Amino acid sequence: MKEDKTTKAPQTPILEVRNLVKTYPAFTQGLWPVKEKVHAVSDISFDIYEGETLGLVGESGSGKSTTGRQIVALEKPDSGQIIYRGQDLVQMRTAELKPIRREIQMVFQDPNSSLNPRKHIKDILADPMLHHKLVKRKDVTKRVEYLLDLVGLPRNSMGRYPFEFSGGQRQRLGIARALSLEPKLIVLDEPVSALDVSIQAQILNLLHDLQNELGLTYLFIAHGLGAVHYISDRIAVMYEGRILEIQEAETLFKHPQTDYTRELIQADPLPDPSLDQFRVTEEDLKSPCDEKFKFEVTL
Amino acid sequence: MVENTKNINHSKDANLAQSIADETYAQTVYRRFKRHRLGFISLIFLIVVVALIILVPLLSPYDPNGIVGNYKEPPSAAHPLGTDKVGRDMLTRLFAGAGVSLFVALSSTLISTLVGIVLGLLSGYFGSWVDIFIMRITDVVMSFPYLLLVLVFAAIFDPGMWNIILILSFVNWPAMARLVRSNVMAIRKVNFVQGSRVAGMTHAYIMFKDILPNAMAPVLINASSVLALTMLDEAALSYLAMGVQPPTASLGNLLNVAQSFSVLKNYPWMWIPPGVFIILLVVAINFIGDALRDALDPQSQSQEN
Repeated sequence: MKEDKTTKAPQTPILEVRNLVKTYPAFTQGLWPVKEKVHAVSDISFDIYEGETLGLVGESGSGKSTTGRQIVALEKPDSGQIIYRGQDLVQMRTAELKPIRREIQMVFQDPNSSLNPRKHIKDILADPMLHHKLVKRKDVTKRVEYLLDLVGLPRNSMGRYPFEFSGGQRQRLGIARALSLEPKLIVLDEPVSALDVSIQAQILNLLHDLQNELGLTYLFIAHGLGAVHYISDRIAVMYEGRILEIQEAETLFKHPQTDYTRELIQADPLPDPSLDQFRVTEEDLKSPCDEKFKFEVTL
Repeated sequence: MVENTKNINHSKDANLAQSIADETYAQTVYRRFKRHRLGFISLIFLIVVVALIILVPLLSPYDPNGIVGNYKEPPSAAHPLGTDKVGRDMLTRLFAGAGVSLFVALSSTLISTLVGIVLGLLSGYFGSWVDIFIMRITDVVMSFPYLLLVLVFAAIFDPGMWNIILILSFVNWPAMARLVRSNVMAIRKVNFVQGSRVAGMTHAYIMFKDILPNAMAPVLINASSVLALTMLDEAALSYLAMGVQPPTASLGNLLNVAQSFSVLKNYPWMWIPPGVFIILLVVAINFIGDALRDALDPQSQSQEN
């Protein structure tokens, strides 16, 4: 799966993230709390190339989801640029942003809350398309049928409500909703981590097939390397708001640059035993009970 | 044999489950509402009352505001509930008055609910200075003693049906706005709303198509208790002669005569029927509210599924 992509022509970035910073206000404890800035994302830069899958891995609070939310313009960065095909999204006004917003969509972690419980599936999928005038009113049904076919759901799902579907089916609907706007880039925010393991593989296969079929680019956000390893061309590792390293997926597993990456690799059982030799053993770590490992950040 | 019946039972259950899965939201609510016996009986009672409110003044030979007999006449075949102090037919006036009271309560509830929904939506959805501005207004309105505010307004403006409706709407919208606001603030963080934002949907679409339908259950429940309260408030105001003005009847101003001790003692047909009517209506509306709460509450729904 990864082989067929390496033969691609020179890579052009679809999205360039430059010096992105996002802070949240926080207050110190005590009688007179002082307002402080907590860096969720501190000065990160990376590119996403056309047609690739970039895995973005890190623990809770590492800023990976914040990064994703800024790319889909759900949050505004404090500073920095998010350049989509040459245009800086951060500087744009809402009206200018609208047609571009359509091309960058998001799939959420929790499929149970990503579909409006009071709407029929047909309306959930059709309303955004009609809003962006991607389809004529008389062709809507056909278009919704096509989307349901794409994600492998029966066409009669149209008249049903979200609660009538299982978790895996709902995630398929969440993907269909993202696809309805014919996006070029999809931010997948931990799209399988709320699902059963058996369902996870199905959804990952579906995402992979859709990518080949529709020429999509993915930013795949995850907290562990397990799912990311399977689907990503390159992987970025985030820790405390910074990117520790970005590598081709294979290289990252074979030659991790930081202790933290090694720890992540070790945390996930690897399907390929030949990679096991690169695992960090207990002896490699000075003291496994250390509250925090100190990392050398070289970027 | 035993296994056969088991299978039949099983398929019955499956059919039931299937029909439950196929029904629309409104059907679900209706099915769950019916299970609440008191609420269902109250709903039927209310429908009958509304029918009578429409029919009695139409079918009655008497004008509700006209003098049609001797004054203070006890119940008889011609006047089943007697006549009042000036000789108007009490039965006709009772239903005409109930109509006015219900109209006042319903329109005031409708106005305060609509205003509360719109301002609560704006406040909860946009946050920042919009929220601060609207919430400070609600604070001001809510910081006055409720009945005093109503009485002062009734004294400043001429008492009358439309002014009562507006006054009661004015004191009731802040609570509704706050309720809507808190629900909106919770719902706007949910993924499907975020998804609509990512899809570039308009604020109006997100507020009215995504958020509002999901915030309606507590609004309806609260509206039912506001309805019962405004019925009582109208009765209280009209009883104090600050509400609906005679000769127009309302349940409250029918009770106005009961301020006199001799009426209380000697002419029970003048005040017992409207008094009992108010109690029955308010109790019925509250039971309906209870049933609505059970029918709309998502938590009891999850227990069932």
